[in-house]
Amino acid sequence: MSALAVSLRLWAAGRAPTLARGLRLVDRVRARALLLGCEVGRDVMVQGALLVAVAGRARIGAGTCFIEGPVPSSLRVAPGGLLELGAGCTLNYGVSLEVHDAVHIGARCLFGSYVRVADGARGGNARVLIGDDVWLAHGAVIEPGVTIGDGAVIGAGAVVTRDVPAGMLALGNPARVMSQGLSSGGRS
Amino acid sequence: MTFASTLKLWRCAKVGARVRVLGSVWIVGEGRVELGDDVCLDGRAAPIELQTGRGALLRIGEGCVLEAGVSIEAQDRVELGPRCLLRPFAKVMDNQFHLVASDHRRQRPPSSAVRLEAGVELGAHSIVLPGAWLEAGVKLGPGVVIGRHVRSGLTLAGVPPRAVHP
Repeated sequence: MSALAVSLRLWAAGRAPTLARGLRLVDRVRARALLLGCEVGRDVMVQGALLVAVAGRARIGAGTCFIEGPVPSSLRVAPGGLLELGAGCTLNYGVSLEVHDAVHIGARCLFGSYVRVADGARGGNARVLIGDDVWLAHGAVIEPGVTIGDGAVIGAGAVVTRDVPAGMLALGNPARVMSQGLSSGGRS
Repeated sequence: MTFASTLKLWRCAKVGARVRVLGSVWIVGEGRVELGDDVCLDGRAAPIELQTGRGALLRIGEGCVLEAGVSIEAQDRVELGPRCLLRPFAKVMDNQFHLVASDHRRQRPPSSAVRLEAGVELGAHSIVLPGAWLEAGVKLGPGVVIGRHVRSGLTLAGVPPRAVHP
């Protein structure tokens, strides 16, 4: 059923602007319903399913969008935890955000599919800070206690165990930090 | 081919003989999806995603097996040769969808076709990036990320990948 919904959405995006606007309205209404109990900004959109288990506090910035896919994204905030997701972020499907203490994510971040961010592990909790305009590509994992600077790029499949300074590129497992100039435009 | 499999593959432009679909598949987009004979899509534990952009071609060769959660995104051209094995949650993409430069992040870069030759095996959670060309018999270990040409018969493991002797 949801594959059909995505087909319709892709078709509408290209060919039927009125229908596309209608679908966006549906996504906004669905966001309000699914994110009950969270502080939700204007024009937050949830396409398709989303697993929400918020026992602490969660703030979702205006214009943030959860994209539909074969696997739903999940937001889990433990009691006393705080999740701040900035304005204008886009999250692809299968993203997992798990908060025990605090996770701050800046504005206009891009999350690829299956990105995982958690601030807790068996060893205890440590806050995760992600700046503005950060791009986390498909399958990236952010370990507890990591700070990522503004404009950084986390490559596909990277496991980030240490801080990434602003404007840098982190690749590999464990992730190594390098200059974004080393990647040639779209290629990595 | 069972009636259920035929229904699940209604979006495909071409489906070979004896194709099996287990569990759920997500076939979306306006491109062309072609499945060869004896292909097996096993989406029982997690759905398989085959996404194609307008004008794109995704060709899956005869006898390929795609396990749970495998995702292939074609914006231009992705070709899997015969008898490829894609382990759970492997990902193949021919476009990165975003530019690295932060002031042009929302722009889409040009696509770069991906080619997997006969008998290629992708490990669980491995990622094949735009422009990759894996020659016959190449094996990728779990979690490997690769976006370049790999010579026939090599086995790669680790991130960044290194050649290992099997």
